[in-house]
This record gives sequence, structure tokens and C-alpha cells, in this order.
Amino acid sequence: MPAATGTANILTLGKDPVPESPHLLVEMKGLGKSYNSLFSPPFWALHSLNLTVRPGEVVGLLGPNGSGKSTALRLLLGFLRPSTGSVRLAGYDPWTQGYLARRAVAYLPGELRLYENLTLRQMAGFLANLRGMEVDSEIRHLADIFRLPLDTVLRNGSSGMRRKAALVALLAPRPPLLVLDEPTNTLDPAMRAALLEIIAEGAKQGQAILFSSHVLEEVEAVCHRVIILRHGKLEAEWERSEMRRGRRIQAKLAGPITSGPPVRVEGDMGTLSQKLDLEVENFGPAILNWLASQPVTDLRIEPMGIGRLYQAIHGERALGVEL
Amino acid sequence: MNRSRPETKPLALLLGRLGCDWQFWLTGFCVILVTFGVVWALVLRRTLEDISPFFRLLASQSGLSSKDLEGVVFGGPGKMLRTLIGGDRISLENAMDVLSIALVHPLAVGLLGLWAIGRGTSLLGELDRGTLELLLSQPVTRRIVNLSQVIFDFICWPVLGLCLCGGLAIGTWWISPIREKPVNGDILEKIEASKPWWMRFEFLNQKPQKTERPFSDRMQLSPPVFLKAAPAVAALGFAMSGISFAIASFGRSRIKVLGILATLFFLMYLANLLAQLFEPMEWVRPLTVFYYYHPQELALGQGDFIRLREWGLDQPRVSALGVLLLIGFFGYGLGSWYMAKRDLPVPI
Repeated sequence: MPAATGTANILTLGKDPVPESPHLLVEMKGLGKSYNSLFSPPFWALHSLNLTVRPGEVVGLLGPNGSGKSTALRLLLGFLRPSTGSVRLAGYDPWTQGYLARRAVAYLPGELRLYENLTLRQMAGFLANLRGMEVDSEIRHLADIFRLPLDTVLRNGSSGMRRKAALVALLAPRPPLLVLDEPTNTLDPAMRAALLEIIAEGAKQGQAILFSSHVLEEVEAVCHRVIILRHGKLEAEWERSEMRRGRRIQAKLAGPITSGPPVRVEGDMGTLSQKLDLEVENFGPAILNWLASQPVTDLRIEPMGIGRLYQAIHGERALGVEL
Repeated sequence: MNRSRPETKPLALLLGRLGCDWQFWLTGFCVILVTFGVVWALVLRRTLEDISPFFRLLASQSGLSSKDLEGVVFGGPGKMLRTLIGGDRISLENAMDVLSIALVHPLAVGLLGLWAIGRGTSLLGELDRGTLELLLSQPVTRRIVNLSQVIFDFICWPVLGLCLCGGLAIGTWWISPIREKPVNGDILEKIEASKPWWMRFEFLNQKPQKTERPFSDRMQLSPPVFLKAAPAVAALGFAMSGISFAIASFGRSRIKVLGILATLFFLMYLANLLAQLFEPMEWVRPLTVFYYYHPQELALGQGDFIRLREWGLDQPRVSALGVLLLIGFFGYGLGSWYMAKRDLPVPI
């Protein structure tokens, strides 16, 4: 039985049909899903989504509840049949070639579902065996990192322990693609940091991660690219550099503003409050020079981050960085 | 899809998983069925040894045979009782016939139905719990998952059939041989005392005695014979779980489907029973699985063929066992086909 060999798994498809576009782990083209009902018009949960994920990429999938994130992930895994467009996972159609496609992926659902009558060792072993792998050493290694007992029946563990167990079972076979739906739920800060480190390390070794989360700090920290969905449609797609481009500028004013800013800004110019609170998309020397010419004190400039951008797009008030 | 890949390994793993998940319940059901068979035989021992001679005495006192008494008991509304215990083919004079009633007893059929519904909806239960999603996110096809369920049931049903029939065989062996016990002297005295005075003269009390088979013949027991009924029990269970699997594959919530199936099987049972009492309804019977369930005939060597007279078809004869297996396979086939093509709903 082969041992887990990281990203090499994708290359061991030997006698199987040749995958389409093998350089892309995920390829969605015009992907849509509608639910038909006898008594009401069809409900479109996802509209024409185009998305690609390459090896080594960490892609964040964001959106409010009902935005189509889970539908997109379920289409990717072959749980749902697409109504329009196509989806390829490691070059295979997950609906008709599910066996081949899902060899390349491990999935952590948002709501944990485990064989709770098994121990971690038994469950992880069973799932790895279904992939034709022996992953004993990986399981032990990951259990050490997450400080998990290997032989405790899962139903007797806490929700945090069960989530960690699910992560161990998921990470042990080291598939080329990880699909994580809110993976850090119920994890304590130390374990959260450990997981993010594992994700970053996996990405360095060529593993791709499709990551859905409501904790924008995490998404910002690990994702190379962010996709925002709203009402089943792709609302925005940013590279990490784009995410960090915007800035929030806060300052006290010692006097009135003498001239308008050279670039487009949004916020309070401090006419009444004597406090400047601006958001600027195109932050650069021009805005810095402008600030230098104004009577400002206590100047504070920080990256806007995707939390503010998310808020800007949805017009919803975000609480801190948690949505 | 590549059809040449080896799928036996995941299939074996899934079967092993099902075995682990169900071992407790399977063992429990086996124990219950064996116990039922044994207890049934023990309970009937008293009926056969004590009560039967008493009725024969009553019959002889009135110049009737046991058959005539059966006619009185099972006439009119009593026909339902006769139907429940297996129909006209069963004679209360024969110990083996009476013991074989265990195989069609509503409790036994109810237990088989319980297991069938539980197993038939197990995939829906996994869907509810989300473990099916976990399983199908691995490189496993839905076809293999469905196949593992069918194979597991195909293994379980013969075991359960053997347990019910084996329990009955053990119980029968336990009570063998049946010995006629003399009727209590007090009762004999009361019978004598209740006669009018002229009937106490033997020459006035001569009635034509009907010839009856000797007691030893009628009470002859052959425990292994009941094992021949195991295929019928297994086939009925397989048919019921096949129907359950098919209906469950269209369902969303296990609880709802459990309710639907329990109602469906109860109605089938009732329809098969009542249609035997009311001739205009007879055509309904072949539409129920219970119509094709003939374990007593198999055990007692009366053949397994039905003629579908209710539909006006006297020929050709149909194997009841074959029909049950066909229903089971059709149910599993339909369920597997739909499970493979349906969208997997989000776990509840």
C-alpha cells in the first residue's frame, strides 16, 4: 500500500483516463445550480461561477450565509449535479468521475460529521484505507501536533477534540487539494495558529487549499486570493496584494483642511468633528504628500483589510473582523 | 469513468464498517428471534400435551372429531384467526402445523419488518447524520456504497431467517417427544355429573365415533424440518428491506420515511389478512409482500408455488420465494439507481 506522498499523489493517476487541464486542481466554468420546485419558480443557489485553483494556492471563499459557498463546494465534490456550466477537480468531472476526482481532495465540512463510535486512529485509518493508503505515522505526527489521544472514542471527546480529529483524518493522506469549510471553528487560539501554519506549510509544498471562513483575519493571513460570493454570484476576486492595498487613515486635526485629497477617498473629512477618518483605495505617495501638507496630529494609518472591503461591498456593518 | 479499477477493496472496507456498526443490533435481533422460537415451542407444549386431549375428550363426548371442533372455532369471525395462523392448510391436530404458526405470528413478522425498515433506511440515516457525506468525500463511488448495503442485507437476512427457524427447531427438539397427559380426574367427574341420567347408561350413549389419526402420529415432531422455512423468512425480509431502500432513496428525512414505511407494511399486512375474509377484495392480496410469504408450506413440504387465483390466473404457477427475491432486488435496484443520480442533500 503506498504511503502518503504529498502532492505526488496527483501524479500517480497512471492507468486512469487522462484528466483535462491537469495543471489546474479546480476549474469551474459558468457553474450554476438551481433547485426546481413544483409550486415555485426555480431557485438559483449559484450563478455562472468561474474559478480556478492551482497547486500551491490558498484561495479564500467568503460570503454571507446563503451566498452559495457551500453549494460551490458541494458541486466541486460531486455531491450535486451542476445545472449549468462545468466543474473539474484535478481534471476530472466530480459528478461522473467522482472516484478519480475525489482522490485529489480531502474535505472538512462546516458541520462536523464523524463516525463517533470509532477512535481517531480507527476513523483516520478507515478513511485513508479507502484511498488505498496507510497513514499511521502521519496520524501519530498530526495527533502530536494537535495534542490528541489516538485511542479515545470520538463521541467521548469535546467538540474541539472532534474537530481536531477531523482535521487529522483530513490532513493525514496529504491530498493535493484541501477543501476546508470553516476549519478553525471551536479551535483554541494555539490550535488555530497551528492549523494555519500547517496550511501555509502545505501550500509551500504545492498543496492547494480552498478555504471558507467567517474569520477574515485568518483568510487575510493565509489566502493568496479571495473570492467573495453574494446571492450566488461572484461579487469580487482579489489577489493578496489587492487586499492589502487600501488603507484607513485616522488623525486629529489642529486646524481646517486646506485642500482636497488628490485621490478618491471615503469617510469623514473632520469638518465638524476635527477628526479625520478616511478610507482610501489607492494609497501611495500622493496621499502621503497631501497628509504632510495638512494640520494633522496623532496620525494612524493601517491596512483596510478584507473586513472593511467586505463591509464596503455588502453594505453591512462588520463587528471587528468577525462577520 | 474507468471501470477497470479494483473496487473490491473499498467494498470490503465498507462491508467491514457496516459489520462493525450493526454487530450489536444484529446480535440482539438474532437473540430475540431465537428466543421467540424457543419460547413459542415451550408455550405450545402445554397446549399440545394438556389442552389438546381435553378438546378431544369434549369432541368424543359429543361424537365430533377434532376437525369438527376446528370448524366451530374458526367459523364466522374466527376465520380471521385461521388466516392469521396460516390459513386452511394448517391443521390444529398436528403438532408440527401448530408449531409452524410461529413463522407467521404477527410478532415474528413485526420483528422482521422492524429490522427491514431499520436496515432499508440506514443509508438515509447516514445522510441525516452526515456520515454519508464524509464517506462520499473519499474516492468511493455511490455505486459501491449502495452495493455494500445490498450485499450486507443479503448476508444478514439468511442469518436472521436461520435464527427464527433455528430457534423454533431448538424449541421443538426441547419439547420432544410430546406425550398425551390424561385429562384431570375432577374434570372427568364434572363431565359425568353434567350428563342427564339416561345418558349415563352406556348403551343409550352410543354415538358414531369419527375415525381420528392416532395421537402419536399427530404429535410426531421433526425439528430440522423448520430450517427449510429459513429461505422464506429471509426472502420476505429481503423484499421488505428492498422496498424500504427504494422508498428511502427518494426521501430526505429518516424519521418521515420510517413513518411511511411502518404505515405501508402495516396496511399491506392488514390488506392481506382482510382480503382473505372478504372475497371481493381478494385481488388486493398479490399486491402485498405477505401474500408471497409461505414459510409453513416450505417447512411442511407443501411446496412453494402460488397460482395467483386471485387475479384469475390459475397457470402458470409462480415461485413465492422467487417473487420475494425479485421484489427485493427490484427495490434495491431502483433505490441504488436513484441514489446514484440524486443530489446529495445537506445533512440535517
